[in-house]
Amino acid sequence: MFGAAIGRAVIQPPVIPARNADGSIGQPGDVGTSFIRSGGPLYVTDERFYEAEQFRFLGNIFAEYDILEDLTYRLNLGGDYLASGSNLFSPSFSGSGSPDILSSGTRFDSKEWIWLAEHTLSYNKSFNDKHNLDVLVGFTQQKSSFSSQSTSGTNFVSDDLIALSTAAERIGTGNLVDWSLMSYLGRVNYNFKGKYFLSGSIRRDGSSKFGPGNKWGVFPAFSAGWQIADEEFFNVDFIDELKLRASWGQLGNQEIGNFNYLSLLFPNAGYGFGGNVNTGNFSAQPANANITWETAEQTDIGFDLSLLNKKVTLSVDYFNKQQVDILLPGSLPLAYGFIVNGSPQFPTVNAGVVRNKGLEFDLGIKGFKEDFSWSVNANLATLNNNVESDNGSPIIVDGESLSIRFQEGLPIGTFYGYKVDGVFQNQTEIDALNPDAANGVYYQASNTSPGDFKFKDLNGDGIVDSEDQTELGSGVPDFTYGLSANINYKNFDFSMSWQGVQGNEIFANILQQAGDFTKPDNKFTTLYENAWRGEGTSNTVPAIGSGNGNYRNSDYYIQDGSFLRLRSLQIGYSLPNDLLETIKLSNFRIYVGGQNLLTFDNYEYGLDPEVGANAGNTLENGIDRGRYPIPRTISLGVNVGF
Amino acid sequence: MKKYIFLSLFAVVTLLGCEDFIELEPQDQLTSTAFYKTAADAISATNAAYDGFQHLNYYGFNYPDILNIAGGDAIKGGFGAGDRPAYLELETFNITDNNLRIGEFYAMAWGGVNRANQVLDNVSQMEIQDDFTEALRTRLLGEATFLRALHYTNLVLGFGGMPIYASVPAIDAEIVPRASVEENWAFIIQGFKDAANMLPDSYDAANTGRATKGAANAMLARVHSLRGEWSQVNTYADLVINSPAGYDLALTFAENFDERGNNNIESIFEIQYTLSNTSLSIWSSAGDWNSNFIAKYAAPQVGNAGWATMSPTQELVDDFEAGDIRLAETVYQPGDPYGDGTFDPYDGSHFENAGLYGHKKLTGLDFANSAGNGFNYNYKIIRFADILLLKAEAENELNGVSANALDPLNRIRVRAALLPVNDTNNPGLSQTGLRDIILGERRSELAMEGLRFYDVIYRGRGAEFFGSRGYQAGEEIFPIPPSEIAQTGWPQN
Repeated sequence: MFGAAIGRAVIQPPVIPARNADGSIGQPGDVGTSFIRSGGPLYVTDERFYEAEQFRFLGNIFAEYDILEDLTYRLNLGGDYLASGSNLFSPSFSGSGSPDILSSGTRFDSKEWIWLAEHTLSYNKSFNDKHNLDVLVGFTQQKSSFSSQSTSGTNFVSDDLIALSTAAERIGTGNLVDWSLMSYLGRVNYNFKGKYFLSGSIRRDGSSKFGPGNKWGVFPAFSAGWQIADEEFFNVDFIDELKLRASWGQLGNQEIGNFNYLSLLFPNAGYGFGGNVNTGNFSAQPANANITWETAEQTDIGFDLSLLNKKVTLSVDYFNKQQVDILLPGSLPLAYGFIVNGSPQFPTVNAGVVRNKGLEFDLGIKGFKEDFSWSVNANLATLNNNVESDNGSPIIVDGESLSIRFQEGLPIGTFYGYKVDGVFQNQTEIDALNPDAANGVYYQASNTSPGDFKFKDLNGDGIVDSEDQTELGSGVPDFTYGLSANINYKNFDFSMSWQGVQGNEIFANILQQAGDFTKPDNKFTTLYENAWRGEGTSNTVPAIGSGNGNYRNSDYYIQDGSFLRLRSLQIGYSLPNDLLETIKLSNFRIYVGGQNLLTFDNYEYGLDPEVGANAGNTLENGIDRGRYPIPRTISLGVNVGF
Repeated sequence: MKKYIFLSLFAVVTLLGCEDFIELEPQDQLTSTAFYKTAADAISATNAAYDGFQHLNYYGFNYPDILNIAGGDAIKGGFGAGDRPAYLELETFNITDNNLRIGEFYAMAWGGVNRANQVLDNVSQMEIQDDFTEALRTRLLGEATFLRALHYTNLVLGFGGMPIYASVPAIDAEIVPRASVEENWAFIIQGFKDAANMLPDSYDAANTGRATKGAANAMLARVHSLRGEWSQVNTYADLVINSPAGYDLALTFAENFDERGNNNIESIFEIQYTLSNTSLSIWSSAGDWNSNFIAKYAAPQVGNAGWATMSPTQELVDDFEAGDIRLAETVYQPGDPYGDGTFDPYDGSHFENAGLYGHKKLTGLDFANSAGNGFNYNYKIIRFADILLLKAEAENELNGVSANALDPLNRIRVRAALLPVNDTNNPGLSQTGLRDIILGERRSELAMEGLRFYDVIYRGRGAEFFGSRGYQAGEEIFPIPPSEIAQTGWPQN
């Protein structure tokens, strides 16, 4: 889990030197201990080698043919070729107190060729200068062909040679994957005198990623707008523009792996009989024959308003988006037995329905007076995310270091676990809760001691067990907001922008090492200092070295993820025009600026509250596994124009 | 001219415009519809049903370690409290719902059931043709039936009544409720019986290691012994002892546990390991785990040889009778020859919490090869010595002290250089006395083979032997992973 430098820096015991006097990476054995077996943070940043290269070629050509005066056929052909390669090399190291780690390296190469063909027929016409009509029908095709190969080696001749030919052992693998997509589409846009707008569209999309009978989806959309300010009856001087908008539409999503509808065989299940390995194949992927398009259905209602010669602009939108048949990595009972190399395999499923709704406000105000001008923009968006249906069976991701759910009535990717109800201060408190200790029925465990966490018995059955888990929050914020300002005074300019999120939680995964007093890694000082050391000393952190399952998934790991951040700030000075003329420049500006200069947050343990989502898995949002913080940068610059 | 170029371009592109454009086939993986056609396919599917045994999370280390720690043969050992901490819970029976290692064992056992069921579901439907003969089909289905019963045995022992899956469940099938423990045992016993009827006594050299009739009968003897059904134990033990496969004790005890013992005369069913070409075939994501890693995990750390997990306990050492030559083959004691020197638990490089002893039995370490390719020592799931001791025990339980009970017991004792149990050495020996001797003999003979825990529990003596470590009745049934409970709605243990 903490393979990266940040995680290692957090959990590396500080008694182990980052580097020894001779320049080698510090090891547990160097200080006579046996803490962890991996190298410290400098092993990752300085010793390990990683480089990636990419070659990309993008091309696009089109041809148009006017069949009639207003009727145009257009063919658009696009190609995208992407070749990627990478080298990863981890040098060997050895040291007393932990097993030797052999050098290892991987060379990965892939190429992908995607082509796209779009045929459209469009008709564009205005009638009587009042009716503007724009009609389009089309047919598109897209196909991707991907191939990759990867070779890994271990035990290299030297840590200075990363070519795989110098590895004592090598193993290779490769993949060859295609996908294709085709669509029929139609769209009508109509407006009357630029005042009334109507449009409707429909598309029928087919994807190779779905099985027979499920390949096609039909997705319609409509929208309407009304520019009220242009109406003759509308006579308000200070309003420049007032436009009402409403739209409803459906959109398909097919962003999943390629053959989830098929049962695919895993070939590396060989077994030795008579001393020789015999091939073994089994179906490792639990096929989901019914998998099909996810449909996002969104309704938007809003208006755009501008006042006082456009000094004030305001947009307000209400959105209500429903993801029907949302595509997610599902979960199956382990008892179904789909497991490859020790890892349970889960099908991708149409998991249920998720609704996102909220309000968006965007307000802009600007002003100027001679050599002083300014503008301020503020925005606020509320978000209410809720799983409306999980099709009767929640998706449960539950492991030693993580517990999240996709469950009806909760936000997507809800953190799940026990609730801590303080720390047991003395044996009397423990005895009082044990229902029948004489017969081995304990509130928590037989070895619960003073200094252990007291978890809440949520279902009131007198004992704490897995039934007492509940939702602990999620990475989905209640609202997000931002503020930006620009000020120009004479030759000086100033700009800044702030960004904030409120009401989301962080699952501080990093605490499972750095906050778990049964594990030998380094701990956060505040936790060490606040640990329970006798009656009345702490009600928030358990005793050092205790057991009792204190470190199960609970709200001990949950932190407030809200933050407000000064995203950017810049001050500049431009030389006045008359001076520029004499030195024959069109522009000369010097500036000083910074990014991420200030952050206000309540996140105690990670380096950065801006944890974000795991791009590969929509369910994993707000989980901090010890990620690299977003850098704070300060820049000084000169812009010169000739 | 322009027009023609344009039209030909148009024609080329529209030719692709039929709807089979989005009908693609996987190019780097077989689909199950293209499989299960030939004898080779059926054999390959059956091989895969054995493959899961080898993995680290199952017999490749985790499952024996769980049982050896719970049974008091081993302590967790390893680097320190933070190295695989879940095993510590088994030392004291404070087993939490989220015990990662028990969860891994649970998942792997079900993986075994799934793969056996894939064979049973599909190979049974294949047409008899060419080299896919009726006899081959019967044998393969027999192997799968045996394997499924073996995994179910581990499941019911570990977790109590489990749902019965006689075929691979569809992913959208209704969740099946947990069946009773008795229903599980009935399913298991029927499975081993069916397998015994379908399987041959032995195989040609190229197929050595597949499940045999003897293996099924031996498992029946074991299963019935855990249920206290001694007349059945007697019957099935006799079938094994008199099997045409000619099982017998190996000449020495020690030779059973390294490559000398691979599929030897004492072997009834064992996990086959071959030496992998590279360590990468183990540790990479495509790893096949074809070589044995228990040896590397369990060997003492001294000299950077192993990782010193599954280290022998003091009580195990104490339980060996004086003069028992098996002790020196099971445990490294301080001062014992080890590698190029002697075993020294106080050596600075030995993990401080790995205890006073080193694990020898399953590690018979080849020091030249400690780099990481693993070993080719097979892991014995059931061997003839076990059957002889079950035979002795069944006779004692059914008929009391008699030559029929003492003879098989003494075959084991003589090989261990111990005095036979008889009237001279044990005057006035009672049935109870012999019962204790046999249980003690099982411990010394079968130490670290994952048997002690259930031997004690299912002979009703858990509190007596494990009580001091905190065992209370019922704690032999482990918690089911909480995610499984949440997913299925099954009652937790």
